[in-house]
Amino acid sequence: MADSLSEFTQDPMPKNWLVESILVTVLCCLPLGIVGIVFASQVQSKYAAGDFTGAKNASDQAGKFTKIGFFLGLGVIALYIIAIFAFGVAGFWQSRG
Amino acid sequence: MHVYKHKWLMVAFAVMASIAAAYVLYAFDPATHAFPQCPFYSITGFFCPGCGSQRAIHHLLHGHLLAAAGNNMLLVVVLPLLLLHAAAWLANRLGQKQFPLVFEKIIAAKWVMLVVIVFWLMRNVPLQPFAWLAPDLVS
Repeated sequence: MADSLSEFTQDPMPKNWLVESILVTVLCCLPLGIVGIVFASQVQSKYAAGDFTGAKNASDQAGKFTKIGFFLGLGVIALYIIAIFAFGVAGFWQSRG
Repeated sequence: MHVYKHKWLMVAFAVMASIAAAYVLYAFDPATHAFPQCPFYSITGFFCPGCGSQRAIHHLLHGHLLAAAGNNMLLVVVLPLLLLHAAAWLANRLGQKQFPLVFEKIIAAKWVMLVVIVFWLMRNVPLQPFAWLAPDLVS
């Protein structure tokens, strides 16, 4: 790919978690996804500047925040499913609107 | 190869979970059922970039594009790009031809960051035309 730096640099770019952090941002609404996107952007800019260690650190941070956001989101969904069973369909699930 | 199998298992699980979530979001209107509410909005009173996305997906699944865009414009714009990315990823693994991945371009993260932050700020401005980016239904 002409627009990718991986062809003419020795180490491949560390995983930047961009797609995952976009999904967490749009689907999960905790601002953790945005922190992930900011670090994803740093992975690419540091890698492009030749700072491989910096890019690796940004990659680790992006992964950390994206995973926290993802599992918090999953946890909230699990709590809602438990609440539906605990408080019933009429008492909880259809309680809004 | 073990790692290879593990990855396909994860993909299969993610696809199944997505289908299940899509069914729930199709069958029930998040506006009138107890879907999880945005913690950021609940705490701060400001919209986050993901606010309205459950209602937007509900409307998208029913083919109501405008109603979906009215609840979360970002989702309506980003979802086709994500599907394109996923389709290229799958095609690259199954076939010989290599398609470019949308979000692997070197400038992608910078643009995504810019768009998401500008969208976040604009949808919280209580004036037209910015207010159009706020979710239609505040619940």
